[in-house]
Amino acid sequence: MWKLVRYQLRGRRLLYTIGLITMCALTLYQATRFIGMHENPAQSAPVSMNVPLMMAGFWVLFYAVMTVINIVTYTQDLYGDTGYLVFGLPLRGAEVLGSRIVLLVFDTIMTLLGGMTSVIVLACLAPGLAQEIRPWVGKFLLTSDYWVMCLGVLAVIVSFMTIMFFGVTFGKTLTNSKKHLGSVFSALVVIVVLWLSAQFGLVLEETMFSGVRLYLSPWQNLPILGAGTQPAIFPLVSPLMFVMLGVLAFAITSWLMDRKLNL
Amino acid sequence: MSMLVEISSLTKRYIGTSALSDITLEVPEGHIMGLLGPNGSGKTTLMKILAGLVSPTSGSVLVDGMVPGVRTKAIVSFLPDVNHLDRWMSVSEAGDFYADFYHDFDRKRFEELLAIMRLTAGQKIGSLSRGMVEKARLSLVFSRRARLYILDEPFGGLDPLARTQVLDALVANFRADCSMILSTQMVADVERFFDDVVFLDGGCVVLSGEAEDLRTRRGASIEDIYREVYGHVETR
Amino acid sequence: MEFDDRAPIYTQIMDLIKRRIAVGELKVGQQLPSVRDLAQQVVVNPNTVQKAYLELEREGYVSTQRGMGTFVSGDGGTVDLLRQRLARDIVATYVTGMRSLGYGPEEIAAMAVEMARKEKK
Repeated sequence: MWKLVRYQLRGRRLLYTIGLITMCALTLYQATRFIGMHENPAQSAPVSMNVPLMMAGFWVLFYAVMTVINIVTYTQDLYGDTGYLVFGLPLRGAEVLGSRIVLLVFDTIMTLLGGMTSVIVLACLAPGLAQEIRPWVGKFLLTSDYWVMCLGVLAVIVSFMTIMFFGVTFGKTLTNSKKHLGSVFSALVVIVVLWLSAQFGLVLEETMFSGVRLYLSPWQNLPILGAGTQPAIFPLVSPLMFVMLGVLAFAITSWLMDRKLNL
Repeated sequence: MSMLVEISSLTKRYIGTSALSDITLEVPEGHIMGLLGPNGSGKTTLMKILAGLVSPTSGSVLVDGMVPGVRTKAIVSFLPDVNHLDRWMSVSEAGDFYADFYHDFDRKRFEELLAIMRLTAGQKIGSLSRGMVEKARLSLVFSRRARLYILDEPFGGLDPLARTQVLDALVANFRADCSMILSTQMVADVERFFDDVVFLDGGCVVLSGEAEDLRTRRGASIEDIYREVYGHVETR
Repeated sequence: MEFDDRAPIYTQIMDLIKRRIAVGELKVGQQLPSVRDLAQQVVVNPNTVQKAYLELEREGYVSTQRGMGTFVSGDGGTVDLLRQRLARDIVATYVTGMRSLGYGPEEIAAMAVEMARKEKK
């Protein structure tokens, strides 16, 4: 499986390089907007708050693009010609799917670290904001609640993508060459599965597990954001259920790959 | 003689269509089988099932006594009818890829074949012409010391000279402990390599037998028989 | 090497070997090329060459010694006989062709003699 991950990473080296260079360039460009603002801190305060936030937005966009690429390349493996290479290898379906998920986790962690770096750099450069932020950066990076939140989000994203992979695979095993029928069908499957799980999760949270909530204070070491004292409430049951659904999707997808493939 | 491939009453159905119906055939160890038929006759589907890329609807398929899966993929060298290599790979990277995943890949042999086919290791797959890609793919497939070679239209993009090179490589590569299944539209060029031939039409076997036996009995070349079989089908 | 695909390939390989024996290219006791070598030489399936060798052995022209290879068997007599047989085949083809053009036995013979003399000069 790791060999496959290595090859897929190698295949994406150009993509990663272009992506990271673009993001670095964007960060630098944003930083140039601070030039000349130091003389008039009062006027520049809203701008200096906005710039790091905007950069965070760009990173979210970057991640969305990577996610789409992850799904598209997986779909290409199933529907396109390179599938004969990947699925012709003496590997179990779980290993092929596993390599895809490792790749996804890699993308997510890379985005998170990249995003944090460029936001922190910008915040430290921002006039007006800099003096307030700088002392807190080190502490913030050690906030366990923040990392717990990141881990939870990662688990939910991986589950979501596994369900997407399941949808694509299931669509492909049912139909053969009719590409559009297959992908339309798989999209429908995914939407139905997600909708059902969301509804079910909501119902569970309101009835059986109404008291089960996660209280986290990821921003406690960043009082500047204003939410430092009050812990935020996170739902616990529906994400857990979602992760379980993801594990189930992984098992079924691997089985489909081993037994019901129709390339 | 032991059978490397045993297929009995194999049927493959897709929603609304039937790709293969009730196929029964065997490939003895050390034999080269020609899989013949017009487009859409089920050749590719049959080969993909043997390669473990398509699951059968019913019937049994055994490759070296095993149901197609992870273990058979390790001993089957499959050449699909389309370019299955990633475009970003260079020829030598594709070799690395094969060497990493298939234990029977012989790197020395790969380099020899590249030399015969006049390919340069550093060239990117995406920058090669169709015929060159075809040669690179064939080099990869033949560099494995597999038990079963499955070649789907191996001469498609090749000019006559390259075809001769490939055929020479094919004969030089062939061993008594392996078998080969080969589909082609260019029956005349390769018919003298076949031990057995199977004619498929509409997913059914319409004629099969030993090539020499068919020549003797019908006094005709396999190509003539091909014309006769499918000419008849068309006018039916 | 060119084969006629309408006839079995192995009989054509047999004919090829027999001809080589008849004209002395392959001498009695000499080793035949290995199955693999000949297959690569004439670019056919090795199994077909194998079958040709087996048939030649059955007809007594060659013999296989385990682990050593295949050798031309017989003596000068069998080679002569083989040569005559091949000659007769060629004559038969010639005669049939001439007959179909309506020539009689004397004319057929005379024309052959005339042609042979011309070729000599």
